[in-house]
Amino acid sequence: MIKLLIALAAASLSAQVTFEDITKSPNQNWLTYAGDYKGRGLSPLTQITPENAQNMAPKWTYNVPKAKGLRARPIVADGVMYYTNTNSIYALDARSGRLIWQYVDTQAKKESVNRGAAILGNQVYFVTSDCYLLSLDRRTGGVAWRKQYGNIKDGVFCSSAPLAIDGKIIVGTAGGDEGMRGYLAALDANTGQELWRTYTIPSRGEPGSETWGNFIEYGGGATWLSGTYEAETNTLYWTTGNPWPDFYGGDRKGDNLYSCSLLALDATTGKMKWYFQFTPGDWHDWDAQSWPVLADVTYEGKPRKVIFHANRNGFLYLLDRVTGKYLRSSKLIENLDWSSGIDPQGRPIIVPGKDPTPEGNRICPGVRGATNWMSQSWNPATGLLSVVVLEQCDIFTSSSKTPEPGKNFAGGGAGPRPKDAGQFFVRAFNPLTGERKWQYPMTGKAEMWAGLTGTVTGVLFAGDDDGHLIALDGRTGKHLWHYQTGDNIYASPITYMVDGKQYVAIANATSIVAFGLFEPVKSVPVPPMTIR
Amino acid sequence: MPDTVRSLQRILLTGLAAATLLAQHEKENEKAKHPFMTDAARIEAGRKAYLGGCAGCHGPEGGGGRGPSIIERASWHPMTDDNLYATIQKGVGIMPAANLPEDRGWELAAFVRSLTAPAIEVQAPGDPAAGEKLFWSTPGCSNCHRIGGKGGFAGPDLTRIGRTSTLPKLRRSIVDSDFEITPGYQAASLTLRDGEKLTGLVKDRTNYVLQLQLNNGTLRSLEVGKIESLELHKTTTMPTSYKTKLTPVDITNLVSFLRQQGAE
Repeated sequence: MIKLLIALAAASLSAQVTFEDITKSPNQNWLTYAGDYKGRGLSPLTQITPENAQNMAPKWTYNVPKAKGLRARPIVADGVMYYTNTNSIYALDARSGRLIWQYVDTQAKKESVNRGAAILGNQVYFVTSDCYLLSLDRRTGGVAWRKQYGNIKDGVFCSSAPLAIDGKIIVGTAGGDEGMRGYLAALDANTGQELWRTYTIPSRGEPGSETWGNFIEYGGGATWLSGTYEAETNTLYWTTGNPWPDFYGGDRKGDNLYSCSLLALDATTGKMKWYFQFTPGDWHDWDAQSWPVLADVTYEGKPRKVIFHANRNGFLYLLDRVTGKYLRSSKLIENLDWSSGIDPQGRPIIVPGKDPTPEGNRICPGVRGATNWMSQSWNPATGLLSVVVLEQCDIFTSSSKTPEPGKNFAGGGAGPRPKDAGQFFVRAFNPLTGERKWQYPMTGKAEMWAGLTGTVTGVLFAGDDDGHLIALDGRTGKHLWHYQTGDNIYASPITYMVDGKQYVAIANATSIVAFGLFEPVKSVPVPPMTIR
Repeated sequence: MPDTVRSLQRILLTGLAAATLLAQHEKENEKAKHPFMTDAARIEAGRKAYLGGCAGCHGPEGGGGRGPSIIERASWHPMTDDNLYATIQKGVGIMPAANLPEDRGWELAAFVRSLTAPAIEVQAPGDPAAGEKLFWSTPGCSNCHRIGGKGGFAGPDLTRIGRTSTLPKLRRSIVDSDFEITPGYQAASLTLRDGEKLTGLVKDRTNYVLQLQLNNGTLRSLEVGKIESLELHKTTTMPTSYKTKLTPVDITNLVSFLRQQGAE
């Protein structure tokens, strides 16, 4: 026994997940919330194809304790899946779904959804609802440290999947619907020390503050999604949330910088390189929390580094990644009535009379937007960007009551008439021309938040509005396969490989379900077992 | 046996059942604590009362005997101070009412709380600095246990042990380390059908798959069908000699250090 103890005590570190490893994700692993740093939602795995996807079958299910509406997308490293729920994280055998360790933070003073984990070195990271970043040993679940980077007394709470880059963990803030000042922060991956913090709303007197009236101190601009990153230029691309109060802008006339924007930040200092605001002075809660997809393309005959961004306001944007310059846009949806288009500077051309009113005003798209934070998939081989879109119009109301932060006041509200309920579609666009190539309409109650993951074989996985995981032919939108997971889906799928076998996993509201190609089960002999 | 003592036994026995029923009422933990709960002198007075009555069923350190253990499940122990006091004083089920004078009742409640509450919430004797030195000494606890990302893998991570264990359990894990094996820390030796031999800790095991943490910390997911033979170790990998190797003062100091783990 003592010999065994010594052997165990001699434990040394196993292979670490390096920054370079993350730059190569996804491969057999899925190491960031989006799979890669570029937000492409595209895996190089080739075992499951449009030709054999019909043979997919469930492999395992893990019911996440106390789960009600899971939002997280798993990460997978070396056959271990890490999954987060509210103030908790679970390490699962990605091949069998069996629990290896779990950690539940009993100190957290708030409960909200959680979108996922990050991994770097031997550590996994996730945030609690009350804005602590936790670093846990990925082998044991032991907590190395727990650092506070936000205070719920300031109106913020935290739900985002951290983004691990070289030596830093980038974390965001939520809470922009009740009055707070959003920011993005970088913490040292080893110690949790805050290295920089960049507010998305300027202080009074700072550049940009002239675009506000009252309440700039509670202006919103949350950063509750994760972001994308370009290692070559050390640039973070992160979107920001709506200005507050959401539905009444009478006291904050102006563009309300830097709400509803895409920020390009120097990852070493947090300093802003450029910004692009999609919806200046927003009154509709059309925050910009959708993926900035980084792509290198040929545009107008020349190589160009660009960003695709499908925005909640109904437009699909093409931006220059180096300068933030607007290049073009097109409509994601057919029901879009608040703007007649985007002008050459990238500014929406407003249709008068399409703001929320005290009586209620029907406006398209609805408050949930033409799309939202669900993942997209960009496949350079087909030149198609696939996006989940929602065709819906809502009745928007406003209130000019003096806002009070932290009192559940958003300046109004929005929602559809019962007979006006929306419909989800998967749509594939040529993002360089805006041409819609195909669409796949969904049935359902327009309640989901599920996104997309594609592979280089052309197969496209999606959650649908009826609780199915579906496989489509990403080239044509043709249905290939579906499976009813038994609950609504509010998260996006991933794909990974263990021991040479490809898996596809998605969380529905309460469980993670993993799939692979069907294989007959072989009888498992129970090995001779001794206990001493 | 005085009626009061019998009453206390019955109270504590059925109080356990009540505690289980209340297990999910986590918000009760947020209620204000009675001042005796952190008063070492009152806790000590309660300990004497406990030994005179309750220990007959619940054991001298609350680990159980004729009655159930009351030191498990500290991490979620849900009873408010008021509920605990009322259970002792009024009784529940087969556990009789104590009907003690108010202060005596609170002293007893404070001692019972010290047995069942997360160790970090309980006053404890000892020198935590001396305990810390012992923990990190060589060869010492840190060879196998980690705190704050440092240490070994062979035993459970103790970074937050003050929040997940009681004082009695902390002490028991040192002086009677083979009392239980923490789930996920059973040692195993196995041979695969291809001849590979592995040693490590079984994190989870079914008839179809086994997750083994190797000595270097790496996790391996093994198909049981590929295992030729499996040897599970019935005893803990933690030495059982600490009760005699360490002095009572060392043990007290070590517990006082460990109970602090999990403080912000």
